[in-house]
Amino acid sequence: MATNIDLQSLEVKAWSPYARDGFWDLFFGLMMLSAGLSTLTDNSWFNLLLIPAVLMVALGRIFVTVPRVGRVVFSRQRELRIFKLTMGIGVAVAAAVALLAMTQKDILEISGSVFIVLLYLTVFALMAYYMNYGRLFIYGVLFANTHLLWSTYGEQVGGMSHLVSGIIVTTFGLITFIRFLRTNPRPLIGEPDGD
Amino acid sequence: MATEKPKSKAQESILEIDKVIHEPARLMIMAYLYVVESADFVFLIRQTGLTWGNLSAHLSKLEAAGYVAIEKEFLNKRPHTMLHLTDAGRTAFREYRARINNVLKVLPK
Repeated sequence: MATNIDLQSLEVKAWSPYARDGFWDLFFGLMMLSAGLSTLTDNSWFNLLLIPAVLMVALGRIFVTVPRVGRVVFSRQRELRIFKLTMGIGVAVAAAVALLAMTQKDILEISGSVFIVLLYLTVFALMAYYMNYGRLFIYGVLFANTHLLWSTYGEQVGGMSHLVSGIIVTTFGLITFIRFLRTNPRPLIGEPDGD
Repeated sequence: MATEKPKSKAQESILEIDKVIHEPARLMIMAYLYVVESADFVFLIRQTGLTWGNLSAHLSKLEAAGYVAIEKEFLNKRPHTMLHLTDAGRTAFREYRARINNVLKVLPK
């Protein structure tokens, strides 16, 4: 044990519970569900599903994850990874917007959908890599696939694809979240830093 | 007059190992605190699998050695304890790793 301490895997192990608490999965799952349901039913009220999705990511960590996993100030290397991720997403979005504008003005004779698909794949690949959470890339593939179906076969097929993908991702999210709660119970009353 | 038998390189390397860190539970605590800036009790309990009492005892030894600093703070009006490695702790951990590697290198196969 003392002979080979792989510090990099140890850091990833320390980081994992914060990324793999199920909230990101539920966030993307609810996003897909809201897009699918609002398209198929032609009812924009389903977009309100985005509110719990955003709240979960914003508040879930504070009220659920940290009390169970503990508080950590991560290393500068981890902060740098998050910074690189943010910058990478920013650059990818800016590039996609610029390329889409070029296709709109017929400067580029390629369908804009290609860039949207590439944007999905790039953003989710960056998230999967920098957050050490490979499953996120599969979600990117689902988003990209839905967009392809949408642009090829129209709204109904795209909406159905969103709905099916949303159900799959939300189910994954729920399973991950329940597993997280079971493996990380709240500290007992009377214990240091417990309630 | 009895003279001390000269120590082999392997023996010397083994004797240089920091015994405070070498204990498995404390080694785990040091390793986790080394890869983060600071962490609280709950985090260390979750990651190491130690009990509150055990963790507390090992942390006291690490604090006494000057390797870990324990900071009490208030979070939402509740007392909260954050732990981090001191500079001496970080140096000691790096040296410990280097020494362990040396021991393994000089041990006969």
